[in-house]
Amino acid sequence: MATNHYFNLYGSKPEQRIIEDLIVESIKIMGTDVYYLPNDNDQARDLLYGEDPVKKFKAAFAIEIYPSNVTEYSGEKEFFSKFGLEIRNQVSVIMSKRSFSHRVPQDTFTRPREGDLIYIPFLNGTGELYEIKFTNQTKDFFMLGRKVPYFYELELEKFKYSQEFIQTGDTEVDSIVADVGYTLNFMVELGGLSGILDYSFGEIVFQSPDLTLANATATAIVQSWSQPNNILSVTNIFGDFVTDNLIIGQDSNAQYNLVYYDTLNPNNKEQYDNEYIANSASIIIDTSENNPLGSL
Amino acid sequence: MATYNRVIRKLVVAFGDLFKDITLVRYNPDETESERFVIPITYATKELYVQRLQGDPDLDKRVQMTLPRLSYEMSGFTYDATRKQNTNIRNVGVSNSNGAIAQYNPVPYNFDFKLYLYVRNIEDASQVLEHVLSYFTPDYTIKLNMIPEMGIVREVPILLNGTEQDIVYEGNRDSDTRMIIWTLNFTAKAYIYGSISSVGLIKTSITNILNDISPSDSVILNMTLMNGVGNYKLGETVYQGYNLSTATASGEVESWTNGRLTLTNVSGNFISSRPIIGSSTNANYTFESYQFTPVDLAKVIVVPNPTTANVNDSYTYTTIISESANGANVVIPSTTSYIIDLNTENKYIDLL
Repeated sequence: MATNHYFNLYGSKPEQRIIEDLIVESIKIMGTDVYYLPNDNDQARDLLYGEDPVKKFKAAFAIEIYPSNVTEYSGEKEFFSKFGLEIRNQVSVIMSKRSFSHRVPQDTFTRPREGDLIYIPFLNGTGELYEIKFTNQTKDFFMLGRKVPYFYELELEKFKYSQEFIQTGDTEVDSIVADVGYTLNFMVELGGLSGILDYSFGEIVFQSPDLTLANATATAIVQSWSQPNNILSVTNIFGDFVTDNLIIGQDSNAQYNLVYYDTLNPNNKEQYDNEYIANSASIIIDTSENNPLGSL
Repeated sequence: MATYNRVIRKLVVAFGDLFKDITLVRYNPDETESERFVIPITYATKELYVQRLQGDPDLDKRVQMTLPRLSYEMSGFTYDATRKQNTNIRNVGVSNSNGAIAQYNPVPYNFDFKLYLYVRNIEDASQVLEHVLSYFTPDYTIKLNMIPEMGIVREVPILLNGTEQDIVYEGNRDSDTRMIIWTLNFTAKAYIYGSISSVGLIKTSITNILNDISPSDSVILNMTLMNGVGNYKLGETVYQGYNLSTATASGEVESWTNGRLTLTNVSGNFISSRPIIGSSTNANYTFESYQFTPVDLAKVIVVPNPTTANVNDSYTYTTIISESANGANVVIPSTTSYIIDLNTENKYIDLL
């Protein structure tokens, strides 16, 4: 061996553990708690195009991180394009490997994976959802000769939400879908025997000819329920909901009759032009013919 | 008053209306449905502050943006000479007040539109493209109520010219996530319309039917005596031109009295500025006016019933025909120069 064997700068495990302890403690003192949301449906990945059209995020693991950006976001930030406002914020965060392994089941998620999400509750005052675009495991450059990283530096990009399922059980995280997802307001009225019950947040509601979820013709996830106004807000819609049919809550067993809903007017904060165009066109276009482009 | 029929705005709205309710269905690997949603669409070139107010009104947007989404814009228009129509033709419509309105033929223009599709997944784009493209062969026609005041409803073909994809997926680890944008180029074959003006209505038609002059009829010419010499002889042939054989007009003298030359068997057109020469007497004079004796055979007056009928109303005609055997002696005054035209001079149609 060419190196001096009286000095062991690259192989002392106690010293490596001290360094790791210091890193973890520093993050715990100076960092903040975030949620790690792994994609639970990566078995549905499209291997040809290399993408996940039906991502599902069903768990949120609390974990501490230290934000590397201390003064400002990186990235292009607010970007105005032909598609409207994009908030192209990017941040880098430090996440210790030890904390990750303690908080996240290691049998399925051995490291923070690209494509998984990080929810940072304090950013922007209301919390922001980020996608891991790169997990850098060499930031510590193998300090003291440790072969596994002390920490990961995660390169994060604010999430481009594409109607994915986010049902982690955490109300704050799950409410993102109601804000930005395709959310429809169902106007309902008392109908079934269990009509007086309340739908519950996050439960599945469905329509079914035999009133069972197994044979449901349409399902959705409840985002809110306003009993005085009889308005049920739902996201992640499967199938066509039919008016004058019962909507049944899977957990609550609430049953109300669907009266009306408008597919062109989702209940989102962001405003789109679908309904405005439809209303404006109604007096311009000869309505004796249907628009075949709008139906599948 | 400015001409503004809001045709361009109508086209922009109508084009967007085609894509306002495109539904995307996500499928599980076993090809069962996972979820469905209507793709949002916006007009592309909004003011930046409007984009912010619409995109993040409470400054609490927790994601970068929501995909997939559509946007579109009208990128320009060009004159289409192949669809040019006669500029002088006017279309007539009903005025709100009593009367008619008219508008000249519109000007053909090709309006170029771009439809943008921004998706996270190639599979999403494939589905939308397959759905949309199947309807454009390569055109799809919509029927638009272009000028309601004129009752003009036009079928507007929209042609799909082509598609382009822009997929940004290469770069280092600091690069953004993959970006997939499709651009579909369309052309709408429409028209620009001019101003609308009020026009009067023809509500009475009067037709006078007179007899026709034949060669055997007599025509009296009032000659200018101070500009000529000699006396015409009864039965003599008179003519205009260098000689009788090449005469442009000729006739036979029926009488010659007090400067009034009466001719019969007239052929050709006598012109007031040229002398009429006697073939044997060589007398020659110009004429200052002429007389003939047409007979007013009939008068036809046509009016609508009711007389207050407007454009597009249902109405019948009232036709009054009056016949007369009395002739009227018509004297055609001399102005500068005129022609006795046996084919047209004696026919009148008055339109009031």
